[in-house]
Amino acid sequence: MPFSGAEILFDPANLARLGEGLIVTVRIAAISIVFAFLFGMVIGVIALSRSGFVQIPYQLFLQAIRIVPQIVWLFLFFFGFARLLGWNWSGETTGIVVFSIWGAAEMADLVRASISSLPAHQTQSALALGLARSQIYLHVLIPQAVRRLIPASINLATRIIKTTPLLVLITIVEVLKVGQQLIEAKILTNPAAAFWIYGLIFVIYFLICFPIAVLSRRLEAKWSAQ
Amino acid sequence: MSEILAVRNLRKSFGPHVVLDGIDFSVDEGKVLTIIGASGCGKSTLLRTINGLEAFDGGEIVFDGERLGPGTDWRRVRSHIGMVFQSYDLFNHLKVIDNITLAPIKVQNKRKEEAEEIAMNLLRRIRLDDKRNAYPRELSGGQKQRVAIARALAMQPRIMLFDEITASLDPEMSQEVLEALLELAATKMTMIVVTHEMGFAKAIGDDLLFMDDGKVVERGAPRDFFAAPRTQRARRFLSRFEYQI
Ligand SMILES: Nc1ncnc2c1ncn2[C@@H]1O[C@H](COP(=O)(O)OP(=O)(O)OP(=O)(O)O)[C@@H](O)[C@H]1O
Ligand SMILES: [Mg+2]
Repeated sequence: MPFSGAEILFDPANLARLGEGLIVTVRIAAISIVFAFLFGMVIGVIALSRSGFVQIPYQLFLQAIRIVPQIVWLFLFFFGFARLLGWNWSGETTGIVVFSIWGAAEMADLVRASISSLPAHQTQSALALGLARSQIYLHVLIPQAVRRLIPASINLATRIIKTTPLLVLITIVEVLKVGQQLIEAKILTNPAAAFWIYGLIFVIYFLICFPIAVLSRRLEAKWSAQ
Repeated sequence: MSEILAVRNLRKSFGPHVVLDGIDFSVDEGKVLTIIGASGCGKSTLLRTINGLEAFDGGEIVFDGERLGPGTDWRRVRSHIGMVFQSYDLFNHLKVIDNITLAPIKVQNKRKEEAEEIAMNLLRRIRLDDKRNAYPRELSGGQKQRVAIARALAMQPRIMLFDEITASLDPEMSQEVLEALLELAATKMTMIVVTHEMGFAKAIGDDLLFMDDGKVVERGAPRDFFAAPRTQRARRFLSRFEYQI
């Protein structure tokens, strides 16, 4: 009976619980991605400065984020700072803060690299027209850099989404955790529960990330046509 | 004839390397000054100091009665000085029309419709009005340079600086760009034209500077210069072009 146990997927109560978990996952990921992109843009533009006052803190920030695993940052903020400094952050707030900082660091470096790879004469001719530095960033450099950034930033967004299961460890009940709970409750009566539940979660992650990938390819095609 | 730009004893070094070694000249309104000279003699650096893209170390630049230097509001000055470079430097993410209207809208605070009207008049003048909605990548090199000229003209500058704007073009396209410059000169636009096209230098300028090694070596009417260069250095420079047929 290869499909036995599939009925676990047709129990509305189970689906509702998975749905709630999914909402938590999507909410944390989406808010983090928005913050990451906004702050990443700003930090990335600032990081173009060659001054040591910018470069030293920027490199420290970037390397700290890259070298230390996300899970350690989550623990540090949730258990460490919360207790030490008396912050009373929920797991969700902590998750959003850590993922936003991580995403912002990665995004900043993408933005910095993308803008500095634009030909210098774009800036020169904009200056010669009398545009201010801020106008040059806003109307000339960032719009061109963003077009080149699309593939890498979509990749970053899907990485953030795929890292959300770590949040279980700071008490957040997201979709994967709900799945585990359902499996634990049903495993004795339904030995195939794990296959069906994890299978469904697999499909859910795919359904979230695939449209993002398609969108990115569309934008790339559209903008490379210019 | 009123003098719009005067450069006196202008000096500029990059580290130990003296690039402008006491340059003197002036340009009257409505006149065309051509600058020629070997690669590396400082022509681009000279143009770039005039609109503040490069700082200078000594001497003075007086533009429209105003002494330019460290305290200058370069944004305002640049909005009166148009410049076109050798490299194609249109903004690649903007359509032709938006390339031209960007600075008038953002720098001069013109209304979009007004800026577009100016832009369309310029595009008609260079016969590219049918390309208003094209992106730069859809244009030939010659068309790009003509749009770059229109983009600078849209600011209604007092003077235009051209830095070897045909150097990356093949001869046919270079021709259409040079014709655009001749038409512009006929409208009495004040211009400084750096060029490596000797035939063109002969045809366009009211005045010609021959530079060598950061100095102005000869100055005079283009016809006289080409007919009878006075210095050994100029003769040697010109002889290089004779073998180029
Ligand atoms: N930013 C810079 N830093 C250091 N040296 C520079 C810089 N810009 C130009 N130079 C040097 O200054 C000299 C003059 O350069 P410039 O570009 O003004 O010459 P040019 O006459 O325009 O030459 P070309 O005909 O090749 O365009 C060259 O020797 C060049 O290497
Ligand atoms: Mg040059």
